[in-house]
Amino acid sequence: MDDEMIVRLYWNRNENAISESSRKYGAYCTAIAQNILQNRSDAEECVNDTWLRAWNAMPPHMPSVLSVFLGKITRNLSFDRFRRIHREKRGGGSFDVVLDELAECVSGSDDTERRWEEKELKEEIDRFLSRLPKEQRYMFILRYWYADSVSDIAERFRTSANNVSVTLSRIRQKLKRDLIERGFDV
Amino acid sequence: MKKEELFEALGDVNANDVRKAKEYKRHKTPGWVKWTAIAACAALLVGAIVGIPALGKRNRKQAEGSVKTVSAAYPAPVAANLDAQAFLHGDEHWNWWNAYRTKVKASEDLQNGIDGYYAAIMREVLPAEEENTVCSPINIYIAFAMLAEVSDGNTRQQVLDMLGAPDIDTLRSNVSALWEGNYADTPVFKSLLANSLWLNAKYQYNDETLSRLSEQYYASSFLGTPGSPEMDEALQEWTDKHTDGLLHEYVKEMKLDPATVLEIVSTIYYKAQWTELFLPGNTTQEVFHGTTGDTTVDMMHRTDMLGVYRTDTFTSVGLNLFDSGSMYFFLPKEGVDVNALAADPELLAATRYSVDNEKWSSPLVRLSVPKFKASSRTDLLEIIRSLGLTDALDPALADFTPLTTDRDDLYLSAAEHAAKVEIDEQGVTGAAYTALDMEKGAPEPDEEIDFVLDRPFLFLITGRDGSVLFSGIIRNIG
Repeated sequence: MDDEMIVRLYWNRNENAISESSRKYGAYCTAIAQNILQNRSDAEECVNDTWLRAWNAMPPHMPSVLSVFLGKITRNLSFDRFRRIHREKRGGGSFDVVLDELAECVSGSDDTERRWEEKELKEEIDRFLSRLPKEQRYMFILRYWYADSVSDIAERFRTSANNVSVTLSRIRQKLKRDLIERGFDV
Repeated sequence: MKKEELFEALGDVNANDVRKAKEYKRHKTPGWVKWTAIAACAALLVGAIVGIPALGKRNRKQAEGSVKTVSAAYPAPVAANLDAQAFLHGDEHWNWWNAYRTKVKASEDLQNGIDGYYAAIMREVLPAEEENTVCSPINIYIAFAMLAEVSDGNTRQQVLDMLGAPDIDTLRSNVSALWEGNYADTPVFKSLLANSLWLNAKYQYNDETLSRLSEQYYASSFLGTPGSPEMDEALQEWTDKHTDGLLHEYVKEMKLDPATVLEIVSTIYYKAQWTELFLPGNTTQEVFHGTTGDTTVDMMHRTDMLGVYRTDTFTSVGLNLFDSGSMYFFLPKEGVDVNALAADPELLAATRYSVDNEKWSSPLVRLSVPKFKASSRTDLLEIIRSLGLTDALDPALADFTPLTTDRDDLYLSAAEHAAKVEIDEQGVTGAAYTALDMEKGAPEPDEEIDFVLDRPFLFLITGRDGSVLFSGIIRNIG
């Protein structure tokens, strides 16, 4: 079923919307949840919650890219759950590595006196990514949006894990510099 | 700001990019696949385990004129009916790839244990004065693993020590993993390994040993009369076939001594393409400052962000090979002898990326690589002796009982290795494609370096699993 039809089902409050979403994007969303949570049953729960959230979000939402709309819900839910689980224990997991890599871009401090809006930050990140060469942009998104493993990314790009790691590290440094230059005291 | 907040903020990046990132697969770049970057092969002739020449009389007339052959069953080519384009754009490539990467993984894990051997063999084989030197460490490894199978006692132990294997079982599983992780036969990538045994009809051989070599090492066996024109012809034909004629200048001189009890011949034929191409229009005529003087060479050029490894003695850059590993170029720092690089302790580190190692960086590299063709033949006897393999060379000490008990005076009388590596940009189709995938407005990288191979350099070609397939030193071109 095409995405427009599925969105219409949501809008019409037709419960088939959920089974169709699950059939088409279940694997896609599960992979995202699994990358973050590293646990099958936690991941499944987040994916099930995703359909419910989507049900509540549409209407009023009319997503332009349904896969990413659903994926983002899964990403948020999984990340919330990750933080709940990891409040006490931490470190070691492969998703911790993703976060630690991102730590290179930020100061790590709680800045209550933030002088910029979150929206501006997001716009700047988007601008930054749009200026990157296409492959680097995709590599960055696969790692920090999907939390894909470096080796999976390497396979997709027909390249070595070395190369991916070097490229990602390079982009992170660049992002940090870019944000600082633009006045985001990250 | 905390890393968690950044992760959340990143959730809002452009939805189209997020979708496209997941759909993106690099191989959907058409137009370049007929291009050949590297063709290389090597043959190791662990030759002639012979008896005392005086006793090696030729009799058994009936065997002369015929060579009995038992061919090993090699894996069938993948998608042999498809051309490169069709292969890459159909499911066949992904199906093959999924199966292959599991095999590569198994082989990747044992590379650490083989590094000592790689380093030792390169240190021994590569140094020279003026000639180019080329060898295939993995090829020599497999041939000597077969020698370990036909030997016993201290003779076998010394082979195991040289190969860095604690025992024969480890060696067997290493060879099997290396084989699986490096055997590929698709329309766009070939890495073909083959082994053969050349046996003397005069003797009785241990069946168990021969079947192990046939099954686990994919060794075809040929039984006949060493020294006869028929057997020499069969030997040359087999070797030429498995090296695609690339080593013909050496192969045509291959002959079996009449006293041969066993000759082991192991080959590798390798052909892969650069992941990012060099545009032929960018190739210029430039001077190469070789050890015997300056020559004019075809210099290929490319500019790209590449992983660079820098030490006090060299700078190295790796270029990816499609579906395979990489080719690394090592340029010695001014004043450093290229021969010294062959023994440089960091040679292999430059092929194994580690986040913690600050010697890695990824500047924009203005790369100049000369087209070259290099081959060499190496007598391995003295080399293996200095690597501690001595008993096999001594008729009084050598123990080849797993092969045959017909004679107790067998020894390793010859060990030769030949290899050839060639890189160029022949046969380019779809030359309109650009190597750089930089879009307009890409930010300037902070660092740019020139990497110009216009003087003697060292190279390594690794498989996807990290094994060292070929290495060499180019001192002169043309």
